[in-house]
Amino acid sequence: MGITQGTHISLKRGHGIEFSDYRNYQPGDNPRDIDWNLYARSDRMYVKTFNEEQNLAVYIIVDGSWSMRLPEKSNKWDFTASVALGLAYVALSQRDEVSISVLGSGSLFRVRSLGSFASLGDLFYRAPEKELDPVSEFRAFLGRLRAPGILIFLSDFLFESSILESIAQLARSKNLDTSFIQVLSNFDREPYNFPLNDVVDGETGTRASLRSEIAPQEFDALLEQHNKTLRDLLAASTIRLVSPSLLDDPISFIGSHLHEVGMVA
Amino acid sequence: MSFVYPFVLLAIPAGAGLLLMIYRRKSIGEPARIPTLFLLRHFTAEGGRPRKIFPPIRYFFELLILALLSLAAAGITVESGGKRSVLIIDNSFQTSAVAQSSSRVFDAVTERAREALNTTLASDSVLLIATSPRQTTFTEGFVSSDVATRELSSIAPNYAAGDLSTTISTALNRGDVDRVVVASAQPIEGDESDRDRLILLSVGLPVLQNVAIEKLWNSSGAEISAQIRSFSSNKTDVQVSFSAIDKSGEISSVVRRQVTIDPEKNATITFPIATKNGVGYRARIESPIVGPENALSGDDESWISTSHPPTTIGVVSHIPLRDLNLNRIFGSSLEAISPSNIDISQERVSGWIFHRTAPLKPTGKPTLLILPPPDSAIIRSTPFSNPWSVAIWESSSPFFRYLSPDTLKGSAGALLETGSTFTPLMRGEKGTLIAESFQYDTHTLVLGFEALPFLGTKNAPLSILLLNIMHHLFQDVAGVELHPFSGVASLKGKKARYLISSSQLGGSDQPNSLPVPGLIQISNEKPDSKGSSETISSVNFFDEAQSNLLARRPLKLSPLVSNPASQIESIGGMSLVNLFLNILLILIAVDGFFGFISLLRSRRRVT
Repeated sequence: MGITQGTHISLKRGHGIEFSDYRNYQPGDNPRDIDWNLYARSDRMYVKTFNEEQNLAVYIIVDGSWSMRLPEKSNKWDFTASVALGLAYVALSQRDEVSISVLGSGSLFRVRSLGSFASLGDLFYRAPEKELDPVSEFRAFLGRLRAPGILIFLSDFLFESSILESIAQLARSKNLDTSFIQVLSNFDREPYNFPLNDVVDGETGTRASLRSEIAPQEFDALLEQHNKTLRDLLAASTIRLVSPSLLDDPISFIGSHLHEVGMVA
Repeated sequence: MSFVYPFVLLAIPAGAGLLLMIYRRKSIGEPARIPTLFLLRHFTAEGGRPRKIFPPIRYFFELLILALLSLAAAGITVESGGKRSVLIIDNSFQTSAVAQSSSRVFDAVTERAREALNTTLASDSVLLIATSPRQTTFTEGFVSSDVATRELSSIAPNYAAGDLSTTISTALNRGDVDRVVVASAQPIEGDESDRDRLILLSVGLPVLQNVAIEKLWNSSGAEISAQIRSFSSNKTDVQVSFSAIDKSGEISSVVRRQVTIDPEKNATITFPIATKNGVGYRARIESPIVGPENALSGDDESWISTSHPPTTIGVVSHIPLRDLNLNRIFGSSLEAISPSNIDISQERVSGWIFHRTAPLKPTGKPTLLILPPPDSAIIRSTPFSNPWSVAIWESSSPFFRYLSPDTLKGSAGALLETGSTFTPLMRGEKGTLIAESFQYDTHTLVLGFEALPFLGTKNAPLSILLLNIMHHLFQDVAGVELHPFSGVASLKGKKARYLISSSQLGGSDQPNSLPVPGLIQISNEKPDSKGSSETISSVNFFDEAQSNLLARRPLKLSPLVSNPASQIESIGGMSLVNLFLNILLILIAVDGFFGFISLLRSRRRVT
């Protein structure tokens, strides 16, 4: 939990401003907490408890691999960066501490105030020079976390199931309030709508010739199977999964999913 | 249908293959960079199976363009059927000889050719070739005899020898010719093996006699001598007139002398130089000019220039006078004047040439400005550095005499601003290149292109223009109109012979409208000991091989000539080629439309 006082209601009962409950007076309690009106009515001493509002650590991690940045004219990366920055802004507005990292950049930005928010933009311009190992990158990121909090991971999660499993296990091991946001572009969802012959994997550089036509039903089934695997893995690890269907409005996406990713109570 | 260069047709299959390769590469294109192959791996093609190519419609259009270009380049000709015959017309200088009742030998030659086209060659495909000054085709490949008959009228005798022997051999050595028909007054001996293919149309004229001025020279400074040559089998009485020519080309006096010449001998007549104003003298055989005793008139005149009151032309240039090479054409003396030290009031200078510079005000004397500075006070100009050619010119201007201005070309120049002061004489596609003014008592001519150094016959059109300018602007002796055939000087040493010949001019530099004399002889009587003031001093048309009509030695044909097609220049109609060009323009426009559509479609690529 946070160190400084924030706007999130803590499970810890203590001195706050929002009433939570009564409990029996126990020796050692501050007499000022006794509800004397209630004592007058019931002749029993009860102590008021309050929800203590504390700040929250918000960890935002973005998959910075080439698969998020391609095809070149797609808005996939812009959407991802906008959502990440928008969430960071919301967290900072709540006086939460934000740590944000782009996998592959090797750096973790800790931002405590809106004044330093502008420096986050540079994070998204550096593309990785080589293929990323998402598991080791994710592990390295988690190793640098110092306090429990909310973890939000933005990626297309188009990984092998073994990689997905490793990532889910790593996230669970940290006992973080974790949400994965799966960002899929139109190309990721429906590549059969694009003219393709020879292709190059943006991450690995592997060149391949595609069949003259990709059967939509066949591909849709494959994608659905992959997403089901992802959902099952995350559900087993109590990780939330959010998938925006359209990538054209990051603001409304953030507004409608803040609660879902644990940013607001 | 036949082709002059059939091997060019190989370009069609080669080009089709090349185009197909290009389209295949385009259809495959650069591999698209995609986010990941993770899910698409299931859809990769098996092995490297060849992909079927479906070329777009544009491919067939481009193939059609290629085919038409190849057909045009291959020299496609449409024939009328029948045998393929080459009809050779002898139009050398001696065919201009008048045989009888003012009918030329050439007229008899063409009449025989016309008869042949109407009879023997009536159903043939005919290629019409004239021999002088060089082999020239007058039809667009092999055409019907009717078309050849029409083209026959565009052939005229030339003031050059030509090469009948080579022309016949060239035709005989063509692999695609069934027979060669020669119309000439000259007896010809063909090779025995060509007996079946060679048809000689003999004109059958009586023996013609001729008298010519063989030579005209300044014999003592006070006298001029003319050597008259007889090619007659009889004693001949010849009357020769002698005239002085002043600077403006006017004949100022005439003296006549008579001489009797023995058969096939020559005689010399001497004339005193009577007038000091003459810059040139003309000798002419007067009686009889044309007739049985003197069948050729073209060699009856000769011209000579003589000493005259020297005029001085001031040449203002940053370039040394010797590098401008102007002394090669001037009869006047030239005086180099530094651009930084111009005094236009100098009396001794009777004309000015400003080269890449200009005076501050009109000089009051004939002035030639060559590429004046853009901000000159005389005329403003705008330099450009693109190739230029001539679009329109003032044909009545004397500066364009003996010249087809459209043969003038250049790679840079300056467009001249004309208005109330200057009038354009010659315009390129973008503006005026030569302008003229008579204001402020000054005849000023401005050239918007580089004309110096003078390169003689290396640039014949420009040289003719310069000579015209010398004559009409400065009235210089070098440009004195000695004879309609005077033109470019190429004086090397004492006995320079030819003014212009086809061999000297070479291919593209040959000005179309300038007769190719070939018979003009120039001698340089008194060259400066330093070799720096050579001038034209005499001009005549004597060429023994052509003037001697008595010599009727049979012409023996020369052996095989290699690559005959390249030696024949076609000046015939280009209607078929024009048709191709029109079709090509349409196809290229359609192709461009497809290209535009393709460009629009390319915007919807992988995004």
